[in-house]
Amino acid sequence: MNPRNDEDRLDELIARAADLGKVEFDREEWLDRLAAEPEKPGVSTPQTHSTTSESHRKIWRTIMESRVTRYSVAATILVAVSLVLSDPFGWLDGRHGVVLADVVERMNEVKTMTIRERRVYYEAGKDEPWFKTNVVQYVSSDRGIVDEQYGEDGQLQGRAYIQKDPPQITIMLVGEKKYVKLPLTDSATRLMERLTPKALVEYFKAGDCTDLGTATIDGHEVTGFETRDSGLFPISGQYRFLFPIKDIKWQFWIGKDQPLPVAADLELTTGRGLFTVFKELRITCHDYDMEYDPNIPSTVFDPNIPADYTPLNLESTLKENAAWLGVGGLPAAGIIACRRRRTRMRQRQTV
Amino acid sequence: MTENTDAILVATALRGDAESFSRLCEQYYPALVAIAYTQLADRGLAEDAAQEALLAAYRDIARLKKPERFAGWLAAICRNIAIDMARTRARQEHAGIEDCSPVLNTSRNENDTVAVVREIILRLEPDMRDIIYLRYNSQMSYSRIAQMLGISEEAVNGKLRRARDKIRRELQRQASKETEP
Repeated sequence: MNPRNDEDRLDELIARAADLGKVEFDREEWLDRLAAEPEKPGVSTPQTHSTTSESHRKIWRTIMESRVTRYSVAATILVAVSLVLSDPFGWLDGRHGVVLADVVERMNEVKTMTIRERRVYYEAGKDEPWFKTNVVQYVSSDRGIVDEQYGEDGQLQGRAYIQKDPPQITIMLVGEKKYVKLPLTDSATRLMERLTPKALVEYFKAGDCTDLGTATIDGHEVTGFETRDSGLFPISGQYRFLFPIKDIKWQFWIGKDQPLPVAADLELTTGRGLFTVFKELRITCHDYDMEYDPNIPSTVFDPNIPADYTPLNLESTLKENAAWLGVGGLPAAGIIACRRRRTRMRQRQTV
Repeated sequence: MTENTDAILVATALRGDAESFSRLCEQYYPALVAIAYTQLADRGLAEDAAQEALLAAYRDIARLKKPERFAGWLAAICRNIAIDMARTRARQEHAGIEDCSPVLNTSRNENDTVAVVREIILRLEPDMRDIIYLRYNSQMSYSRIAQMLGISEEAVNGKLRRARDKIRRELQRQASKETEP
């Protein structure tokens, strides 16, 4: 055999000996592991710089362990979702007994709204609620949305502002006396745009809805409509890792005496995401006491942060984690069984 | 992917661009598994180590002030974790715990040439092992290997050549031993 053939033969042997098979990253398994992983001191990362990682870890731990914090963050997305309540009816137009064109026209005239909401969180597969809140929302077509979240005891837990100008989200955590401001980056703005009534109406136009018939709610005779999401929710692609909605069911109840919604119910199930604290959740929202064009003082929409509140450096952490959890964009292919260490350790693998 | 590309991806990932990190993950995970395997000689454990490395990097990303060094930084984390895991396993073996496999637990039934080559590779010096696996398993270019190991391309070339020479010599030595009367 000539030297060239020898070299080729050696290459082939080495390639076969070093072949580990197909190796692919599995996002879901990694997220499982991330959620389950306690902090491990002593992992040897190269000490290249003085670090702020400790503070980041503390912040992350705060997010993971504080119910108020985690749901205040989650609330920001749900607030955005609730934008649909200010104009969800275009998709029904002309298909039902209610004169929906009137509803749409009337809704377009509405400049302000207040909505009360009962929001209950369940872990997937469990009947007992994991977390309950009462929410008051203030909506202004000019200013934005304020979402006030109260605990079962009636105490204010947190307040989230989504402002149009300047474009930012501000979250105030009453218990912790902390606040955080998140600028609406281009990416976030695009996400928000997908959650506008117009975008959602466009989406719902593509789906079917069911006439639920008539009922009486709070003394109003109403007609109900229901639609179910079939996986086309506007949060898509690279944003899905934040709040991965699997399924969604909307019910709207429209008054017969005046063409405006009287109540709405939303039930959604999620996969694991940054804003679901890596849990699969079922979330129910019941909206009631809808008031149209109430006189809301403009100061309500201005984040008024008390002097004794200190900033929670959530922005960089969220960005950081959003980036690192951005593996949501990866196709989940291949299987990496991160729990298999125990079993693997029992197996004597030949080399 | 170049250092500059990495730097851009890391920087944009830190600014919240999910797609950037997706690409980094896709790019580096197989290489991390390969690096861990050279220490552990166990595919499952190597994947554990690679995932640990991603978790550790995720926790400590704020330390990385030079995004262009992301690859080397990540590889170093993975190697440290794999070494720690190998030490733990060795201690368990020393203590008589059975639930672990030795680093070089070569099956005597797998007595073909490929198995012999694998054993030889795993007895090479650590940096040579890394290069062999990154080159032959992960099929990385010299420049990418250099980037991950923090050495020059020339050094990669030289070490790879020496590693191949060692493997060849060892194969010849074993072959001549077998033919001895």
